[in-house]
Amino acid sequence: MTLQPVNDNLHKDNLPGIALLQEIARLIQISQLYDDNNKSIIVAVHEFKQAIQASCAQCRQVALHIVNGRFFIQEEKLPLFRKNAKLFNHMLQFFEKRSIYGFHFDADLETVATNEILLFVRFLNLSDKYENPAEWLKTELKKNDIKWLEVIQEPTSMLHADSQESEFKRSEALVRKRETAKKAYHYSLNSVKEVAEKLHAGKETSIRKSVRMVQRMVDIIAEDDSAFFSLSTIRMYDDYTFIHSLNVALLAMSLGKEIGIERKMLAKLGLCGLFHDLGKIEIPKNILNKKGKLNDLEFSEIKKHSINSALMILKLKTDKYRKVHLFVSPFEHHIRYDYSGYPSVNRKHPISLFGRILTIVDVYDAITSPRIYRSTTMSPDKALGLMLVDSGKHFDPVLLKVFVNMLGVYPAGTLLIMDTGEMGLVQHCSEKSGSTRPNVQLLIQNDQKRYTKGNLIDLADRDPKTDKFIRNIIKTQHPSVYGIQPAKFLL
Amino acid sequence: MIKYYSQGKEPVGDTLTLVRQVLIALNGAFKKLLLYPSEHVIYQTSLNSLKDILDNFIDQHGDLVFNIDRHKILYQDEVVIEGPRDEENLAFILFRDGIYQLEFHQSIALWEINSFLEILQKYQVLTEDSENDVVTALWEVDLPCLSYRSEDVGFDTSEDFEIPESGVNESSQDDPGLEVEGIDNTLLDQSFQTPIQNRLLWEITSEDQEHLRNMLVEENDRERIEYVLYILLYILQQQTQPDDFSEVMAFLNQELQDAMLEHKYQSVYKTLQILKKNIDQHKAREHWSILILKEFFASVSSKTFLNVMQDDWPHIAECTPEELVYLNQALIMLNPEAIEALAPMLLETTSNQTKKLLMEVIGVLAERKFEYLNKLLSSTHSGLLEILIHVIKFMKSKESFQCLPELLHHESADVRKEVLKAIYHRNPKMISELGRLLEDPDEVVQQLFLIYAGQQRDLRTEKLLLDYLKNHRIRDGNKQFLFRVYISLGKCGSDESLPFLQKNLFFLSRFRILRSKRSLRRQAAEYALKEINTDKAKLMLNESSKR
Repeated sequence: MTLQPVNDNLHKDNLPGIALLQEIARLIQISQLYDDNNKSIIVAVHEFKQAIQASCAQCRQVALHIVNGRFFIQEEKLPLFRKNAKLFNHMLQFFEKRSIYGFHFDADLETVATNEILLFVRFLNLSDKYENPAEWLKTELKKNDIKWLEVIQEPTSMLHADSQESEFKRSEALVRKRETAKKAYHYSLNSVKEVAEKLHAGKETSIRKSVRMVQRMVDIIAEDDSAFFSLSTIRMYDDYTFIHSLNVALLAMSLGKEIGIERKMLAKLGLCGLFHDLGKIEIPKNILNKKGKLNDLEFSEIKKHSINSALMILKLKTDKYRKVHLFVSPFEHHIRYDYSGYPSVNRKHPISLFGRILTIVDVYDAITSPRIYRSTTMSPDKALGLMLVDSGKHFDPVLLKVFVNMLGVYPAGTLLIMDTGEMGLVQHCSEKSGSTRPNVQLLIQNDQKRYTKGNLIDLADRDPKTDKFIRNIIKTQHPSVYGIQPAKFLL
Repeated sequence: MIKYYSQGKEPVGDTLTLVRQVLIALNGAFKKLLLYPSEHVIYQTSLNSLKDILDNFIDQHGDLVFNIDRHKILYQDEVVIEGPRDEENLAFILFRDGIYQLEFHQSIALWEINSFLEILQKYQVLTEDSENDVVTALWEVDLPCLSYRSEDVGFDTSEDFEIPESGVNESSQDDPGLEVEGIDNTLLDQSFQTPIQNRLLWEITSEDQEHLRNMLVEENDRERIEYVLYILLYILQQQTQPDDFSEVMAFLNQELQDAMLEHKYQSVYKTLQILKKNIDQHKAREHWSILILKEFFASVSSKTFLNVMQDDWPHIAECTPEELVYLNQALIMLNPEAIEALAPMLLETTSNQTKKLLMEVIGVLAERKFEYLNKLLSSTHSGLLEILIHVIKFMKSKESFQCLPELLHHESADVRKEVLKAIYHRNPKMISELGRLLEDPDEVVQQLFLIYAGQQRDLRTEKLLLDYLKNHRIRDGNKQFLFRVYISLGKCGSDESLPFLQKNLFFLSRFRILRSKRSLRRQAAEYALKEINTDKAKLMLNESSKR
């Protein structure tokens, strides 16, 4: 079947859902006319991707359903106007002929190759030649490892849609939360960079933006900190100090929430985390990133950073009372619980609660972060194990316990190798068995040796016949060993 | 100019009228707050009126939800008010900071509305340097019945945040040989033998829970100022650049002021002591820090700094004796110019203990440099002057003594009396030079002078009194004064006075009649002789009794 040309004028002022339908129609149409390298084809694929993105305000999936002869995008009925009637009719006929009742597209198709999208469209076109087109299409997609869409073979009744509504809404809310968290992460990162850069340039700097973002993060954490646990797995060489500072802020606030610190103080703790390493901007890069052991002089430079962080905080343009809360714990974050660290201070002054919190989260993030100057990185679970050895020495023992309980035995982002040969990233604790058998996002390596998302599984699941666990962990590793950025898969 | 949309335009007529009333009242109260202090009756009236109107709306229609769009406020998609794109317009202020929805909930209290308006007033104008905005301020006050929705504005949104594709270290190996600052690397292998699966290592016990609860309480109760000062001093000692050094000193200054307010005198004392030591250590080398430290001491000795104590004396008086000792020691470390701030406080405190403390401090500071106290002597009113003279009484410096005689001319008798006391205390012999006090208009001053004059045998005083008696005729009506002068003469005098006294005893009138035994002068001379009490004086007295 050949589709009629679609009216271009529809496009401009249309709802995103209608635009998506239009792009699908266009793609189907021109894929029959041109080969893969044609410019029009490439443009059409690009437009299709954009239309998908536009249809999914902060969701993970775009659901296109056909119910009772009407199109629904994200469970919202597309309005039928005279101007789009022609398009609707053509597309309805097209899908009806193939017994296809819709698709679930991944919202983010940026990483999906153009030829993969074209392959899908060509299969879609071809499918009407087969006895069971929808089934055939599904099989072909599977064969070709096309996972960014799902074919709907059953009619979806609105009643059914209603019954799924709460689940759908939950998932929507989760997506929204993650997007909000990502945005807060992004802006916070920018804010701490801006503060550091201005201080480095000797300029006065206000921390209003950082305050605002920390408040935002406190609100998010108060509701659910899982998104931040995933975000705190982000690792980058270039922005290490800033990413580290932000991760420390996030983990510190989460730990603070766990022990019952009230929201206003949590925000202050978050700022302490954000600014705890400001002093590092004064340390020459060749020392910060030096491969191998530092000599005494270099190490003494490094040791100055906690004092310099406190000094930098004193230079911030903010009121004195805020500064008092901000500079103490950055000063303390390397002192250690048993005072064996630096700077060497009088033991008669107990280290502040914020200082003890920062000590824990700072070390955890540092040892789980790949660094230019060392070739090794510790997996999160081993990091916690190592830290437990120093419980009561470097770390407040009770706070460390809370921290371990908060992150779980296998913290989010830990790479697990299982006895099935599968590999996956810890998503969160299992509802069935707690943190020892977490929920795992399986990873699959494609032909280009890149990892893609597999299923989300629960390590607590048992084989109903044998009652044995289906999968067992045989090894944990840091995701960086495989060049994997956990947050990319967990969010 | 704010434009309120006319009633006829909206579909929900009555409701919209009420909404408009709320906004008019809100805007009115905001404008009043820009003009008057929050406790002013005009603002309070408009605030109360706003509350009534708001309550009226909420009673009838439930929570009031506004949407804000640039310079407009909307209610259920209807523009209710529209104003200029400047800080005069509430909508503009809210939208500028990212607030797009504002909700007033049932049971909203007057203080909440007031807080909201105060925040709007405080952050009406937002500069690049502002450390808060309406949103951050509202978040902090967390008003129970006023909520808002906001977007994050002012952030660079030009680039979407993309989680980096790769986990950076593709060539990295796992674990062994890890070198991490803050972790004993030799423990790495042990970590594999102490797997985290050992639940006992991290399971939270009931004791841990109790400990956590206490931890929070302890954190709230912990002594902060002492620690903060300690850290600031620690940071200060590490500074090698004048600018950084000054930065820390500026903060230290503020913290010390807080410490004073919180009566943490031991901390203040110790801090000042360390800084003084710093000056002493670097003095020889003329280090750049000396100047900054000196400026710091000048600053903490100023009225601006010390005025934190101004109204605090009733509370200071309640401090433990130990703390007061530290206060004394701390104040003594200030520069002498602190006298200018401290001296007026002598009138603020009613406690003898704190008054004594201040006087001691002023005395010590004035010994270092008398200039500041001296300045006060010529300008201060008599009440304070009396106390300051009392302070001078116990001082040692020449300068402080030299200022006293001049003060004997002060109009206040009480002041003159204190000056006399001070002079006598510091140099009793100087009494002989103060003969003019015999003519002091105040009887008490005269008496005191005579008491002091009679305190010890002194030829110069004796001569003073003799000369006075010889050259001044004291009227009989001034009997007591007459007696006192003679008695003082007796007390300070010697046989040198006997010829004069003899004349008083055995005075023969023109008609060669001996003065009556009852005559005042004879009686006075007898008193004097008794006080002189030498053999010759006794003989003379004996002879007098016979005649």
